[in-house]
Amino acid sequence: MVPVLEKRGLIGYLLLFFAFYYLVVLLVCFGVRLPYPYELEWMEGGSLDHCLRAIEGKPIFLQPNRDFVPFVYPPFYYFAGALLMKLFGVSFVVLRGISVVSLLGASVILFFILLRETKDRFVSFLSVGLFWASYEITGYWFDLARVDSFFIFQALLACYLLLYCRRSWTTLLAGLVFFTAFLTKQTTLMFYPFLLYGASKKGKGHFYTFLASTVLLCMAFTLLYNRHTDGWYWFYAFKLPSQHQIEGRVFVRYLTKDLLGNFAYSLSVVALGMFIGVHSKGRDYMRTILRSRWFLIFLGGFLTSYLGRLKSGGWDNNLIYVSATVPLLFGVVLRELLSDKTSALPLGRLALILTLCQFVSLSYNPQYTLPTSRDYRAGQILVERIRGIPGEVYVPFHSYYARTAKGRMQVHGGALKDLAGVYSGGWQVDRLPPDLVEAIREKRYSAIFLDKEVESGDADSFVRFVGEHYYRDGPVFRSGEPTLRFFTGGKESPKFVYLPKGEY
Amino acid sequence: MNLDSKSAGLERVLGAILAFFVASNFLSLLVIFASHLRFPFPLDWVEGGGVDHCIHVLQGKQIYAEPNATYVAFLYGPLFYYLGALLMRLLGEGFLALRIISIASFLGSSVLVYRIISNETRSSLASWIGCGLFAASFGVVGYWYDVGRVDSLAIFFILFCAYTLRYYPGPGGAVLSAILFSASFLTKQSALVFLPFMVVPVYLSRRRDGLVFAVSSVVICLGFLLLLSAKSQGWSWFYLFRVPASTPRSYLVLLTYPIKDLLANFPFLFAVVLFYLWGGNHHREGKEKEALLKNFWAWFFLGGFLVSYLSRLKFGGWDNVLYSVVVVLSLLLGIVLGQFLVSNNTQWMRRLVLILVVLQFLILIYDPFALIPSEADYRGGEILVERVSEIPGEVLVFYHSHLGYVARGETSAHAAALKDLRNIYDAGVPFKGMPKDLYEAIARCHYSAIILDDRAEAEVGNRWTKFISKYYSFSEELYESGEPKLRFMTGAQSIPRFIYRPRISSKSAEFKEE
Repeated sequence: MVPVLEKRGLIGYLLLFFAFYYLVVLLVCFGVRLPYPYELEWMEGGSLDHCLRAIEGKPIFLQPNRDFVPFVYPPFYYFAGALLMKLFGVSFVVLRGISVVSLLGASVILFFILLRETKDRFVSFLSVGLFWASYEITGYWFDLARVDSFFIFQALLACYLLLYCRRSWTTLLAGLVFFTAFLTKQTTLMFYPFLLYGASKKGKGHFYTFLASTVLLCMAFTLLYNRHTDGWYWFYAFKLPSQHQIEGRVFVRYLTKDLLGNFAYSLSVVALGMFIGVHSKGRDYMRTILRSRWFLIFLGGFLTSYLGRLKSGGWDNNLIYVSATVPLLFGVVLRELLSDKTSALPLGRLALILTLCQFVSLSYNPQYTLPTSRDYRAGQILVERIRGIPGEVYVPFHSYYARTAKGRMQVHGGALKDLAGVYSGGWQVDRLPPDLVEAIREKRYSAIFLDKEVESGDADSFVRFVGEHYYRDGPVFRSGEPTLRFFTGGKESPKFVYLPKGEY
Repeated sequence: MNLDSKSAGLERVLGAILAFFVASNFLSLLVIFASHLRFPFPLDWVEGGGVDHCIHVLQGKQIYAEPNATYVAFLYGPLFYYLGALLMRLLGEGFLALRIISIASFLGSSVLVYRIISNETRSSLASWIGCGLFAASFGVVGYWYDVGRVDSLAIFFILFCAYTLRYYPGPGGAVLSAILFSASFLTKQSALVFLPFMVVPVYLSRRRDGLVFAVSSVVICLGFLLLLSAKSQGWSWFYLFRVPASTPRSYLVLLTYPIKDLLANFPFLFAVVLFYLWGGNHHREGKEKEALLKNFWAWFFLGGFLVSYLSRLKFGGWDNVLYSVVVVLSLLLGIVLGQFLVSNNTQWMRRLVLILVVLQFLILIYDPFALIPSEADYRGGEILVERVSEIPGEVLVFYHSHLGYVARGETSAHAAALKDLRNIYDAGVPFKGMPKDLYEAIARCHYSAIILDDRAEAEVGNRWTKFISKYYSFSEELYESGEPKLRFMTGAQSIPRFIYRPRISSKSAEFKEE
């Protein structure tokens, strides 16, 4: 272990301060957001519905209907959530808790990988601090009741077990963890070729063990579970996502804005280190890097992030994977720069200053991510408003509130969007569950709460379809009342109450 | 563009990539400018207000006068509007004249950036890169270079002033510089911040020139201010100094400006500068370091940074306030890069720096096609004008007074100017910042319709729309469902959408509101 701070002076302390600061900010945010009883993001409630169905022993993947349509993810996160909810009760705390623990677990794995690579606790900690600092650019997603943190934890764990542990049972365990990661989010497959390459470098036995375990487990589960769900698992988890359009513009924008824009200073450190490396060690240096274990993990994270972002509807949460793996690239190169003796220039100090710039440029105001008493009140008002209307009330894009108020589960607008082809061209009402279409046509809902006005020019086909059978009665929230707010993702909240036409 | 003889293959490739970036940025700007020149609708929601000012001048009226329902002046100097009016005499009323001034100013500034870097470094590569960075920063400044607003002209004058002050020694050059400085000041008052940052370095190296420049600048500016004040019965002072001083400030920007505006937009530029200071500049002599105090461009950089910072602090300061810092950063990069390339640095250092510059250009990429008005944009504007012109009686297009003028020939105060008055002007009516006749016209339901951008109901309405909704109620949307709408290419994306009609009487309106 290299003695660090005495050599690195004030800037070393400053950097450590920033890394700690981002950890503390994260923990404070988690502490405040975890118990918030309403959605932090508009699809969180949908995740909770999945777990509830699992607890009640109902299938998750089934024919679309007006009560439930699943999201386009495999079921492991929801099963894990359901299991914990049986112990701790049904609430967002459990699902967000899984995400928080996963995030902290991913940080620990990242730290250990970096420590193995650099033998430098200072650099390893700074690099993990970079991951913590990316909370804002990843859309404040770390602690949400969504699959992403759970997924990245398992993906990193699989990488660590496979690439950094020598024993054969760890390879088998890596295969098992890879399988659970795949059951959490399908994009795990992006890591697969790099992990196979890493396993082959470890030895033939390891390669075949990993290959066999992952192929057998993933294929067997997919086939059996698909059969068990009458083909609906394949439909939701593979067919629907494959129909998402690719956003051509994102090809460049991801590289220029998401990657270069957000990690400019750490990538400058990487560029500096690589130039020094090539300058002093020749072309072998690059060959060594391209074959190194940490670079394979980086490539996996980068590709997962890139492809996720390219798909229509791909949001900032896709940056979690690259944010978790850029620190590997950065940390290893930073360590090399700090120990560089080939150059007469103070390049280590320059690298530390660039790191400081990186930490500063990633700073954000956490205040805006924290629910206030007004947000609690807004949630209560919405639930009370729904409860105050006799009969069934449909809140398509925020079904959690309708279920909280009335007890009946309703299909979530997020799942409807996938089903109706929003991400592959636009709303197609004829692809919606027939019983939902019928219920709206026959005005079985005594009220529908919409985020947009039917009359406004930017209303989509679904909203316009509702408008054919329902008329606008008034706003959900009255003047002066706090309105519902989401802290990340789509910021649309229920604004307008629509009542059945012909019942003035 | 030519690399020095030592350059190897990779450096040539990097030079070619940078040449491509510079050329493509200028080319796309020229295409965008050409498409904007013929677009007969505002590029930004305040742009129409500038045209109104020029029409006001053409009608022989004072720019600075007591606020009233038909006209309220913006808080800028008058030069841009006088020049605009002059050009409008030749080209006719509309946006064309103002946009031509802005485009010519931008191109002039680009030439000056090139010339300055070239004079300082003798490197044509660095000069092209500096001026290319200026062009590439179009997105950072909110696509502002060709908008018919004061910024491009003010920047051109200040840059021209700096150029003459630095390269034309002697009293003649100092007086010429003072005239250019005054022109910048009379276009946008924030030029004043630059004054000490130009006087000090000149004074330190050429004492007499510094004094001549400072005194001449003060005399010319004061002279014009007194003249304006006398002609406008003091209203010019009110608009040019009291109104801007009353604008609230957002102190959170003290932190967000250096982080989000500077570090996040120009990370690789700063990496190059840091590399230059820490590593690439190790050949520098101690005396040269001392000369930094007398370095004119170091001071000018501070001035540009401060102008931008102080403007951003003002509540509502938009991306156009980054204009001055973008100019000085372009100069900084060009000068640093030029010195770096000509000094005796190793090949890998030069390559690394060129790669960082390529990355800087990459993160500044924007989508030029989104900025070219489409047929739908034309149609959206035409529909709006048609609809407004069809409404009988007097109509107030509250946030877009010029569109009201185009549709009906009726002038009205621009909401941006009214907003500026909110903390300083009290006409003795219950609504602070509103001219008395406008207040009465609304309260007495004088207008047969008022077109608003937002609905006054629930949480979405602001104080203006809430006030108007006491006397006017929502009638219908201006655009029908599915129709193309007017789109602004920059600034706030708020368009006229909702038609409000008078309630039966103000009394019953108040009753309903309760």
